[in-house]
Amino acid sequence: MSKKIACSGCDLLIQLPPQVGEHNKLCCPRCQHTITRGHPNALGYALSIVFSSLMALALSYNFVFIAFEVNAQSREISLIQATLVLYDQAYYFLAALVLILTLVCPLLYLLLLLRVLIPLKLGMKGQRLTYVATLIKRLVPWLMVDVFLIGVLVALIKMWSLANLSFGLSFWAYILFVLQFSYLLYLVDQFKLWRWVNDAR
Amino acid sequence: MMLDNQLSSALSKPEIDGENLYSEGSAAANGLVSCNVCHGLSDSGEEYCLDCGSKLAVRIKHSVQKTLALLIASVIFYIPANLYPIMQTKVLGSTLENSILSGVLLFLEEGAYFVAGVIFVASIIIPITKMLAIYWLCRSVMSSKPIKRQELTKLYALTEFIGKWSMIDVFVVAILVALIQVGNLMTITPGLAAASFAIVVILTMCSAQCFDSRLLWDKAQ
Repeated sequence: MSKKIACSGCDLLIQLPPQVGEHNKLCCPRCQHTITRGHPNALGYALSIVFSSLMALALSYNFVFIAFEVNAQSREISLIQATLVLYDQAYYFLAALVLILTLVCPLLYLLLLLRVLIPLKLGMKGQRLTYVATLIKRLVPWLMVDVFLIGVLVALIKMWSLANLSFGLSFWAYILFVLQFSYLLYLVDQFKLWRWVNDAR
Repeated sequence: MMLDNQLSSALSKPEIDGENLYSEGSAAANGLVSCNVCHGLSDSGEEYCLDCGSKLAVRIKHSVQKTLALLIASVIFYIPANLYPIMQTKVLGSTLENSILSGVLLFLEEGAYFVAGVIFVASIIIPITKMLAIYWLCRSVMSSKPIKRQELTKLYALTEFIGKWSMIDVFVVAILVALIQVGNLMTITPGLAAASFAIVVILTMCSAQCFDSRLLWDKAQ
């Protein structure tokens, strides 16, 4: 079957090559929009990274994120407190924003991706996968864990001179999570996602 | 109004059927519609995508109008975001209020050049660049003069990529509020600008998503 695709950047009709080789990327010849990158085992990689990011995420929300001492008072905070403190002080909009952009959306993304990948890996037919994939596509622009990490680092640099800071287990787990998550977003592009969905239906 | 005329001519274009309205070699010029959700191709007569069932449109409907409307809304919210304090610091009874710009200046005075640089780029350079870029893209689609399609498409990709990074300042405030709750010595509370600025970022992101870069290529050169 001769498969064609329209570039999402400029709508040029492109004849798809049978497969995109490893370390190669498929670009639109007219507007240079990157359509997909070749990977020998994208499905296996994506699945294992989803699992390990879920583990890293679980670790980063369950332990001490940062501990600090000021004037002999010490305090430990966990990651979820960035939201809870805002909520307690009645800044509901900001609290909801931080919670949604840094926890709800990424978690939902990982779980929905799992919902696509597992049936495919097991060779089963998935139910309502197009709906799931549409949700994933809508979620992608709103995944801000990397932005949040930079925000954390900026806040810590500001605090550095004021307090005696030390990092908890969650801090390192979170960095690990953000690195894996960013790679996952780079690996799973829209082209691969919809090809998987069409394969699993 | 000249702008109105340009706008309506740019917008009515996709609704008239004809070959040369779409760029040469495009799916639309070949009687096909590319689904905006799953990127599958259907015949242009179809109303719903055969692959994913979502409603088909050759180009995003009223793309320029939606983009500009959201852009104007974000410009309006950008005013309180700069005038009001983004956070209030209370130290031993005295209150210090910082707007986005005065916060950057404060960091500069303290010698924290890296932090000042990050906040300056994320909260001032990126949003302004983004708003100008979106306006320029819309203008290019509407204008009758030849445009640099390649460069504008790159500009659009960049606009989409940098959008979320403006949120840094909002997150910094959120984290500082959570961190600095040490006894009664010092407290930090978010100001009105934090929420306004978050709305600016969200609106510009929605605005960029409404823009259809394929319109740039449909223009006759």
